[in-house]
Amino acid sequence: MRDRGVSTVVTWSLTLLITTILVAGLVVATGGQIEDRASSVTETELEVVGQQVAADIQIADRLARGGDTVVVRTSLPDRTAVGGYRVAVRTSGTAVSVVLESGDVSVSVPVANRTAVRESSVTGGDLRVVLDDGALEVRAQ
Amino acid sequence: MILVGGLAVAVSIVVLVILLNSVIYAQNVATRSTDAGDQDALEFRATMSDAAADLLDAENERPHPDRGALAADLDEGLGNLSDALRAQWAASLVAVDLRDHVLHNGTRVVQDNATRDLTNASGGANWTVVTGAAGIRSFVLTPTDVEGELLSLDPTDGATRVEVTGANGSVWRLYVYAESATGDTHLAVKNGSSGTVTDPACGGGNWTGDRIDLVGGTVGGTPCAALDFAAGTDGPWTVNVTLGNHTAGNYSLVANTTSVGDLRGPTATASPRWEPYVYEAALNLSVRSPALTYGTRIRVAPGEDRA
Repeated sequence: MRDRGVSTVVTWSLTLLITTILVAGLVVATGGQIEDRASSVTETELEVVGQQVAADIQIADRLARGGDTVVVRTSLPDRTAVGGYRVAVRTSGTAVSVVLESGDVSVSVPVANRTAVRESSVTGGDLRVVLDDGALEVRAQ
Repeated sequence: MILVGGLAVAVSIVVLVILLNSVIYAQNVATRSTDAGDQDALEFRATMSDAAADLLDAENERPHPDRGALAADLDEGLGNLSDALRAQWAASLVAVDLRDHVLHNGTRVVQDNATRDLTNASGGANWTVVTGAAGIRSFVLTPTDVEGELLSLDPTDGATRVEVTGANGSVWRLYVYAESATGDTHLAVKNGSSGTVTDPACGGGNWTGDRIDLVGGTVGGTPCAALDFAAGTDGPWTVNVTLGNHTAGNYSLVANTTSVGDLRGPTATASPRWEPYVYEAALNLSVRSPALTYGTRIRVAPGEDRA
């Protein structure tokens, strides 16, 4: 009888121990995987949004060559998988790029333009590209 | 412990589903059209511009008794054009009325009597055709009988001169004269700033009865490098004819001015006469769509590129 009682306790202890180890391993592995996926998904989202913003700047650029008033409005996601994001337009000499940042993820998309583009930084979401005083500027709607 | 572990796994699954949803949404955004209606807007602008130019061309060609009648016809025409094109494009765009426009009055001067000398309406040989012209185009001369043989102002044998005087006083000049030995019609051109006279211009030849396009720089359809209209002068310009009694022929020009010399009026059929003409029109055009606001000012000057 004593042997059987000891055996039951040992069996349960071993079961709990093994289960704990398995669950802990699963949680740790899943957590790491989720973190990787979250970064990857955010990068993809920012890439897509960046291309949209670049396309809108290029549309405004084309219209600005023969227009006095140009406003191009676009509807974009308010947030990425990991939270909000910022859209910034950066210039370096004649090179213009759209830089998007969300958490630790940053994506840069080049823009082909002829009309001058002014540097700006806005919170991600619905945006508009405006021709103002001969230069294009990205603003929040 | 098992409960905590199960909860963690459940949370992980939910997070993965959210990530999957984010990816699907990102793909949705990626496959959206980037067409903001810009192509439609540019097509609309080009269509409006072409149609307005054709309308101006047509109305300018029609006889009008005065400038007011021409302006009224153009106002009505542009209104009709605006309504018609707006209905056509209404599905994708909303266009502001083309009635928002400014017309710039000009003048066309015509002599369509080939045997008449290049004199003014009173028969004066030295006279002013137009003054203060901010632009001149479609200036065409077809000499049929040329008598002057010298480039000097000889009252008997001096060449007929078409003079274009710039705002600074510089004079560009075209001489039309007859070569003394053969009687062939020749041209000579004086540059406005340098004073250099190219004689004969356009390679000599006999240009009697040929169409001299002063602004286009061609003689009988052949390009003539020396015939560089108003070179060395700045606008606004005054156009004069000197010794016009030594050459007969047809001519016409369109000038961006309403100030004309001794000419008959638009209701006359005899030459030379002036006719009302809209030199150019400025149209304010704007286009609106949910994704786009586009405004532009179109300058329409029909015939300018065909000068």
